[in-house]
Parts: sequence; C-alpha cells; structure tokens
Amino acid sequence: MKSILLGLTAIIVAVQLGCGDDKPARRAPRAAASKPKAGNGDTTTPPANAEPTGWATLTGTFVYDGAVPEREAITVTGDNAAQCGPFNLRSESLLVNEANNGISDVFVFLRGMVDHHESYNEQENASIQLSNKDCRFEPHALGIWLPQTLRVTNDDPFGHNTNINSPGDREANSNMTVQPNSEQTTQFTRRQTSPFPVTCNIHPWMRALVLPSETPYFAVTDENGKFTIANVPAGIELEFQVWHEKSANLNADPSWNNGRFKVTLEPDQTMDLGEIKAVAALFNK
Amino acid sequence: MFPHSNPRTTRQATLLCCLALATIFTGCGSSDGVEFVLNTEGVPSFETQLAQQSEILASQAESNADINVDERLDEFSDSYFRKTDELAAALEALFGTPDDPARPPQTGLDIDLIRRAAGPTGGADVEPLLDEDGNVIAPGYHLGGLYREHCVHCHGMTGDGAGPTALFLNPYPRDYRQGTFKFTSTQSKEKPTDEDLRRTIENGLHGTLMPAFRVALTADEISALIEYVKYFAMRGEVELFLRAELFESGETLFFEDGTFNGELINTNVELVASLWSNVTVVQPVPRPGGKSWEELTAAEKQESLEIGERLFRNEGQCIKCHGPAGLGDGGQLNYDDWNTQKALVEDEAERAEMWLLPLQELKARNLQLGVFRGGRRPIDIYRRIRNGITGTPMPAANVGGSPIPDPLNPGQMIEPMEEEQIWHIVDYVLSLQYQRGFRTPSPEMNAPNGR
Repeated sequence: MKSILLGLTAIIVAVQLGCGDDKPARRAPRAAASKPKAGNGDTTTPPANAEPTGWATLTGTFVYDGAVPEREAITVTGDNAAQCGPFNLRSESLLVNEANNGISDVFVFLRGMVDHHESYNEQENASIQLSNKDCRFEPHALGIWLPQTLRVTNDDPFGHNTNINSPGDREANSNMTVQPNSEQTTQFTRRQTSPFPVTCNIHPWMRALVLPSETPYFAVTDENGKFTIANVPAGIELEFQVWHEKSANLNADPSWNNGRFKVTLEPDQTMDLGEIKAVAALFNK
Repeated sequence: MFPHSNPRTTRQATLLCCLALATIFTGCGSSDGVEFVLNTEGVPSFETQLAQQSEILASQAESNADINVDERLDEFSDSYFRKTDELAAALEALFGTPDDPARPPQTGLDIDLIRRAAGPTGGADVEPLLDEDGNVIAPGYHLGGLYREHCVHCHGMTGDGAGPTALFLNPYPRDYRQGTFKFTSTQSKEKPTDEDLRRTIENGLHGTLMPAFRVALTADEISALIEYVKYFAMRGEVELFLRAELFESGETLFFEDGTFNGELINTNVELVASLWSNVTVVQPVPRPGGKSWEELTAAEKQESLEIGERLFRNEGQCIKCHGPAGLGDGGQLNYDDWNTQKALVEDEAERAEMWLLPLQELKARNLQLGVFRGGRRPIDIYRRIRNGITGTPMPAANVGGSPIPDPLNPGQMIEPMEEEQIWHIVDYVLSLQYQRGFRTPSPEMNAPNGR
C-alpha cells in the first residue's frame, strides 16, 4: 500500500510540473511490437503435438436454477399490428421449460481448430436455413460452420429485411430486403468468439443469434436444455465455450472462467455432463 | 508493466486513484480534456458489474461451500482494472494522444495529414525528441489544430460524437468509433470512400446540424480532416476488437515482461485496416432507355413516376417505413445502430450510466419535405436505395434474381426488381416534394398491401 501511495504522489507531482508548459506533451518513443512468447496463458489452439486417439460424444443439459421467468409480450404497432399481432409474440431472449427448467438456446462450442470427423464431410457444403416466419426468426439461435452457407428465406406473405452485422466480416455483412417467397444467401468468412444478432428493422423485435464457427463442433440446447456434440476428437484436451444471450459467456459452473470448461474424452466414450445448473442471477444482460 | 498488486488492496487503490485524478483535473486547467477516453458505450459501470458478480457468486455459494466470494470478487476487480489499463496502454502505443498522434503503418493512414488536423486550436510546434547525447530520436513537427477548431465541440476529443454541443442536437453528431458511416457509394455496410467523406464535409448534411465546410476550409484542409476522421474510426474499431479480446475472450495484450502481444494486436489492426482498403464502389447502372429525367417527354415522365410508385409500394418495400404517401409514418418506433442497444435497457438511470447520450429515436425520412441528408441529386437518392444507409434500418434494395410466387395472388408470379428500375423509384421519391400541400394516402392506397 505504501508503494501505491508513493507512486500516486509521483504521478501527481509529475503532472503538476507539466502544467506550465504550453507545448503539447511529448511521449517517449513507442516500444516495437514483439512476437508473443510460446506457451503464454490463454491461447485458442490445442498443443500442436497432440493427436486424437479416436472419437467420442459430449452431451449435457442446462437447467435454470430459479423460478421460470415470464416471457414479456412484444408490442406491435401500425401495419405490423395487423400482420404480426395475431401471433401473440413474446420475448425469446430467455426460454426456460416450465416442465423441467431446461434452458433453450445455450450455445456450446469448441474453441480452437481441430480436424473434424469424416461424418461431418457431407454437411460441409450444406446451406443452413434461417426463416422469416410468423414475424420471428426460425430458429432463434443457430451455429454455422464457415464452409456452410446461410440461407435466409421469407415464408411470410409480407416483406422483411435481414440485417447481418458479423464483426469484421466485410464479405458477409449487409442489410437487404427479403420479399415473400424469396431468399438470399450469405457466406461467412470469419469465425466469431461469440454469437452475434441478425435483425429485421421492419419488425424491430426480430432477432436471431448466429455463431459462425471454424469447426463443426458446436451445438445449441433444445427445449429441454439438452445439447449433444457427436464425433469430437478423443485423447486430446478440448476447451468448450458456453454462451447465452442473457448472460454472454455463461459461467454456469462456478469453476468455469469466461464460460469455458476443458475435457479430455476417451475413444468411443459418451461423456454426459449431466444437469448443469445455472443460477438465475447469471442471466442479467 | 502491470504489477499484480495484492488483490485485497485493489479496490482501496481504486479509490486512491480517483483522488489522484481529482487532484490532476483541478490542479491543471490547461490540460483538461486533452486526452482520449475509453469507449465504454453500453458497458455497465465497475460498481454495477461488481454488484452483479457479487449476486451471482452469493447465489452459487448457497449450494457450493467451496466458493470464497470475497476472494473471487477481489480477483474480478483485479482483472477488470488490469484489462482496462492494458486497453488504454495498447491504444496509446498504437494511436498516440490528441497532442501526439501516431498510427500503425498497416492502417495506411497519412501521419502528416493527421498531424495537420490534430493538436490545439491555432496549432502548435512539437519539439524534436532527443536522447541524452542530444541525438534526434524523433523529429519535431507542426500540429495544425483543425479538428479542435472546427469539429470537436460536436464530435468530441475522442471522436465519440459526444462533444459539449451533442446533447442538444437531433440527430446526434456521428460517433466515429464504430467505423460506421451512413452516406456511402460502396456496397451495403462497407466503409465510405474518401470522396464520400469529402462530400459530407464539403456540403454538410441537409436537415442536420452538420454544416457545409466548402467555403470555410480549403480542399487540403478537408483532406486532413478526412484522414483524422478515418483515424478516429480505425482507432475506435481497433478498440472495440481489443476490448472483446480482453473482456470476452480473456486474452491478454501485454505479457508479464511488459512487451506487446504483437501477434494478437496486429491481427486486429490488420483486420480493421482491411475493412477500409477493401471496398467496392457501386457504379450506378444507366437509366432505363438511357435518357436523363430532363430528356424525358411528359408522357415518359408520367410513366416513370407510375412505375416508381408501384415499386415504392410493392417490390421495393419502401412503404413499410416511409408510409404509403412517403410521410415517414409507415413503420414502428425504430433506432439507428448507435441507439439500438440503449432501447433494450428500459431503466433510464441504467441507460445514463452506460451511455454518453440519452436514447434518440430514428424516424424514417418524410420524403415529401424534399430534404435529404445524404444529398438531393438523383445519384444520391439512387445510392441510398441501392446500397442502403449503413448504421440505420434502411436496407439495400434486393435486385435481380428469378420470379417468385405472389403470396397474395396464388398462381401468379412477381418479376424481381431490376437494378435499373431503381431510377423509377428515384424519380418518384424526388417528385413527392412538388405536390401541392402534403399528399395524404387515398383510401385505395390504404388497401391491404404491405409486401
């Protein structure tokens, strides 16, 4: 504490000494950027020498620890009232199953790059559909592997627009009108470290969460809060990220940091993380 | 560089820091505000975040006796201030200060132009930097002070669009730090060209408080300000990416020996630079028939307006926001990108804590007024429709493609809108201001439509 006080005194003295000077203060020359040293803290890639010894499955269930939150009704006005009012829309930002407290739309995805299992090959060129349907996006949350194409369709008998703002992805980003029965396609070129919202401005409540991923190892929990990621590499340490719209990085387990956990699976193992309880206070965004 | 202080003393040290800062600000009038501040738009205050953490940990501790709440909160505080310090230090190392600007070479920014715009009003000479033996380490230079003379009172010292005048303006002055610019000749959501920014500074933005500078400033001076605006935008976007690296991804910008995490920082700087260097300027297609509006016969003009109105109401989807008569009354309450997140926070006090300026609604333009912010030449209107207006709900027109089934008339097909047909909408939009009195929607126009 003494050293902090001394330091602060020095800062104050230094600043006040500089007061009389009308000339802009000159900083010391900047240090040149240096290469990071190997093995430093938090990197996104697994150890280079690790080779998978087989394939395994990871599964688990996110459960809301608290009273099931009420979903707020969405206000629709003007033309939108006639077209969207009948759907009695409610907020989708936190969906908790009344029967079992399962939390929908929790993203679980692998951090870092690994080789994928051959069972994913046929999905590599798939188009992943995001529909404008009944004045909402279907699905509300989705992951997409970078080689895949996002196909935005409009199943409503009226127009929408699709506002895509994936940070730093110049090629993918646009805000285009989508007429009824028409579609548009988007190719993402950058992985994101968390999902970003796709919106429609004509219907400002509409919001879908999209995660462009560089591996096919991602999942979104279903209406029971359950996720399954099949055919993940076994025998190497994997780090998974957990994220929800209302919490961002979700530290459901207090031992996690930045919503992350590490696992190493045995070949052919199905590891069930069981019920992962997330306290209500986590969903404060 | 960032010694890890004893976590238990961190929060007390913060208090002391505040005291020290108070002394600095009251003790030295001339340096007030001449510094860049961190972008904390939409970020809850430290106190709020600490309270949230405390609630989460207390709740988790109920069923888990191993959690030491106090220790975890100290860790949280320590990490929060370390990350904040790292962010400020990295930004200063990359981009300098208002009185000593720098730029990473990858940005392609011209430091001489930046210096002409930066610095105190009236300009200032900066002495060369010498080592102990009197050798020049960095040469001296002149600061031109243009930004602080002409722009800072609205756009702010950090380019945050929150200068002293900002609160009284609607729309607010541009906050450059997201790198988002509305009036561009480039593809939807792309960065503007220098010429786009020049047009805005030279002509101002009609219907806003942004004045025209073409008389007050020379072309060279405007070039300096364009570079400085790009500097703010690149600095601001690098800041946002680095903030995400630190606070979301848990990365570090400095190693324990105080050296840069060069690879991580360069990756982000290069990404932002690439967004500016890779843009596609949209060349307008010729008008249908190749004749300008003035060259059309009266009958041809009438026909163009009729097609334009049909497209405005149907394929173009314009009425969804601009309303059936172009009065800007078609849509529901909306916001630009700078206000969208604010609108999601209902509590006004909470908003005031997280954002510099209060929530501001965005209305679709009333096209009958004939005031167009991005310019009123036909080419300006064409670009707004063709490329959309980045940072706002205004989408880009979806042109081309194959015929689609008409949802209202089963069995019939709708031909897609062709790019050249945008000119008909331009003609129609520009005609709306010349009607006698405000035209209100006729009963026929109110008929269900809404494609």
